[in-house]
Amino acid sequence: MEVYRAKDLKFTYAGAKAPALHNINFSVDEGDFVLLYGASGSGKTTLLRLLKQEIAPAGHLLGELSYMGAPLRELPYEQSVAEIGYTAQNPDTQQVSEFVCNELRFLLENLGVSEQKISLRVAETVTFFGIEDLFSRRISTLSGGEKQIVNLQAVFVSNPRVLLLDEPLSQLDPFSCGRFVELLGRISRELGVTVLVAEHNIQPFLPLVTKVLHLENGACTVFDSADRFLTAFPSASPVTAIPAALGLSVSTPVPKTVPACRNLLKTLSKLPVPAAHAALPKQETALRLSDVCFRYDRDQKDVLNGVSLDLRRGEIFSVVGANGSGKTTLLKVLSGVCKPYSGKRKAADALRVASVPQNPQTCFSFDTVLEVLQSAAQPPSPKALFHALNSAVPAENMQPLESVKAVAQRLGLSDVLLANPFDLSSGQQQRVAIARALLQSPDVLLFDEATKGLDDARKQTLAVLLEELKVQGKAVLLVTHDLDFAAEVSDRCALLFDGKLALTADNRAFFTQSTVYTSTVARAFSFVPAETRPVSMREVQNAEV
Amino acid sequence: MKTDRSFFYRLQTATLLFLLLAVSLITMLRVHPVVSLLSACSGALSLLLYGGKRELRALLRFCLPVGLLLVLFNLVFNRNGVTVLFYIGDAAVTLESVLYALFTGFAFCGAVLWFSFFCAFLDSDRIYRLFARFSKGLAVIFSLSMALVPKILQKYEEIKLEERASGDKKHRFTQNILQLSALFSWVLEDSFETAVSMKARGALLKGKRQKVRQKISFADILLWILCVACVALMFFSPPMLAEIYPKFRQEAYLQSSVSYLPLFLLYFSPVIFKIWEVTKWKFIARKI
Repeated sequence: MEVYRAKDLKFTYAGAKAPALHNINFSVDEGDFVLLYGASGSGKTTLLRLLKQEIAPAGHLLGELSYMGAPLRELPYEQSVAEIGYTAQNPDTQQVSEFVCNELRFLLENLGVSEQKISLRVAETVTFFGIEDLFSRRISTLSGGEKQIVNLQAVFVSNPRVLLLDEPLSQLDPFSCGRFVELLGRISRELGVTVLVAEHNIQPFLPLVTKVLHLENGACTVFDSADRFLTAFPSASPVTAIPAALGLSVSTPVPKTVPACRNLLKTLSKLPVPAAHAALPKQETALRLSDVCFRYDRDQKDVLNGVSLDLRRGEIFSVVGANGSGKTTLLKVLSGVCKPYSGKRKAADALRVASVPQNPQTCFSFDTVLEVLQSAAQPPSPKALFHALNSAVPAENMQPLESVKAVAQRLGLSDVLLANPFDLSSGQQQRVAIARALLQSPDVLLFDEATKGLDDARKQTLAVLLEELKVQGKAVLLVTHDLDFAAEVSDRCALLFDGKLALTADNRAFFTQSTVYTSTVARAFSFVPAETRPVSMREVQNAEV
Repeated sequence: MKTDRSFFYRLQTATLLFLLLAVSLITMLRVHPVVSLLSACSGALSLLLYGGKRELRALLRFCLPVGLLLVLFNLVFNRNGVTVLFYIGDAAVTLESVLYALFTGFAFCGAVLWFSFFCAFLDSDRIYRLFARFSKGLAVIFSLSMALVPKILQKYEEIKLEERASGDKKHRFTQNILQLSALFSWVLEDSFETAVSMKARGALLKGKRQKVRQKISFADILLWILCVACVALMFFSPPMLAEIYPKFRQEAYLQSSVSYLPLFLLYFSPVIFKIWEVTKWKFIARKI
């Protein structure tokens, strides 16, 4: 049975000149698992929101959009609430209750369901998801991954026919990703729920996908299977990008998991050997932490417990770890915002430190992207601020327009300089935060989940940028869940666990020593001895075969 | 404060709300020696029993200095009363003004302590459920408003990470203004997203009444009667109507002192619940 059908759909945001979506034609059948894939700003979130009336953005919609054979706009509010579940990208903004138990009840209470049925559905959902230990907890005490699972449960509790998920994996560590996708797979396979998910990190979903909608500049191309999509776009996922880079055919069969990719690579007559690279010359230390201990409250457990770290100029250092392991706290201590109760933080003289926060909205103090970037250099004097707020001409102490435009162009923000930063997509917001940090001409750059919401092309741009910063002698520290990106760009990596850096090593040593906290490339080549095992796509592409 | 396992937490939300209203009204509308002292002492004891020493110490660190300031202000500017104690220059310091100032200070501390105490029990979930029975829109407004302050505090911590660690601390004032601007924009945008999430999950569905989950217990009924009785006493009981000015008369407050009993029960109800809970569990534990 057809769940959604879109015919010649065109959508323009209120006040916008160009349509955000055009020529959208697709159909989704019951039980389908549909992936919406595209660059950031291509219209994935817009399309997803249009599929549920209550959250549809304000604008002008043309064309036909039907749900279960009837126009979507005629769907009663109650039926839409009960049958179509939606989770947004940011798990923090969706919660309406303080406790998990009340969050799960919220939807059913609004539907006027009887107390007995509510208890039954909540009990079934909690058991199905296996989160009995979270049931009575305050939502504010949960990790990002747990919050995302609770959000999924909160919309699943009404037994919906359709689930719309907007970048559910963006804030999750690799293991929370796995758990989340496994749950989603069970919902789709066992219960026949139709799932539409918009995501950049598509690799975990590939075994489940039945259809792909590829969005580019607001237009949509439909692929009837993951195989066809991956054959057309092998670089979309590492498990197809790796064999494609080595000249292997990825059409039959199309590998969708790391083991399948590994099996394909085993057919290679000659394995790629990463080109030898010279050991990094030891540079001057920019920031040092010596045996630092930190906790937020006297009665709480140590978040950092004896951390020693040496951040050098001309180096990219990545820190990885699970959700809630203390990575953001480490950044706070490094930037000097939080003072450790034990140990020392030592910074070079007159060191300029800039940070790209996990949530880029923390730096949106002005109405336009241009103003946000212009204020990046240093905070303007009160007089200059007053002048800037009342005039279109930037005052003294504000960044010169030329340098702002240059950085904006570099990061693909030229078209949105006059837009309100809160109106941008999450990937665009992330780039604004990165641009702002770069404009501060720092000596040290601290990135907290810099690749969140970024598509592959933007990640590559960021990687090139980081390389340039390194050559300029800046020290860069990346806190990230994206192990593949860390493997691509880092010189050294560390794993934060139980308040300590469990392992600190150079890039190759880190990703070859780890079996679990390692890149997709390293896992695909796990049958190769560690000394000659590639750990990143760059090594695969530059390898001697 | 560990609240969700206590007997007091299990009272109806409406009961707790009415209790808070009654306690606050009586404390703030009457600068009465017995009421002020009762309010301050019972508030402190309740916080101590349910929240521990740390919680109480943190609040006292705020309300004691502010309370003291209130007392000094009153003494400096208040010349009412007839029983002169001494003179500062030409200004007479009277017994009535000193007592009024003291009891105002106690009343302030009491009000702060009680509000903090009840905040732990009246979370946004309970307030939402109470008002959603009558008006979903109002319930959404209350729920989002209650969640706003902790959200603001949490988000301000995240915004502080943006502070530069460089040695250049020029224009700190502007930096703080910008941080506040970012903070409020962010919180409001997030609240908008939360409201959208609530709407997507049927928060504005009309004609769907929230089902009553909690049963009304004997304790609820008793407390309701107590609240009504105490509020009525405030307007009709002679010792409650006694005034400090123009002359402080001790006997006016001690006549029919039995009418203070309902007030005592009201203000010490959380303590009574705690004693009951501890006793009951000791009794149950002995039987296991």
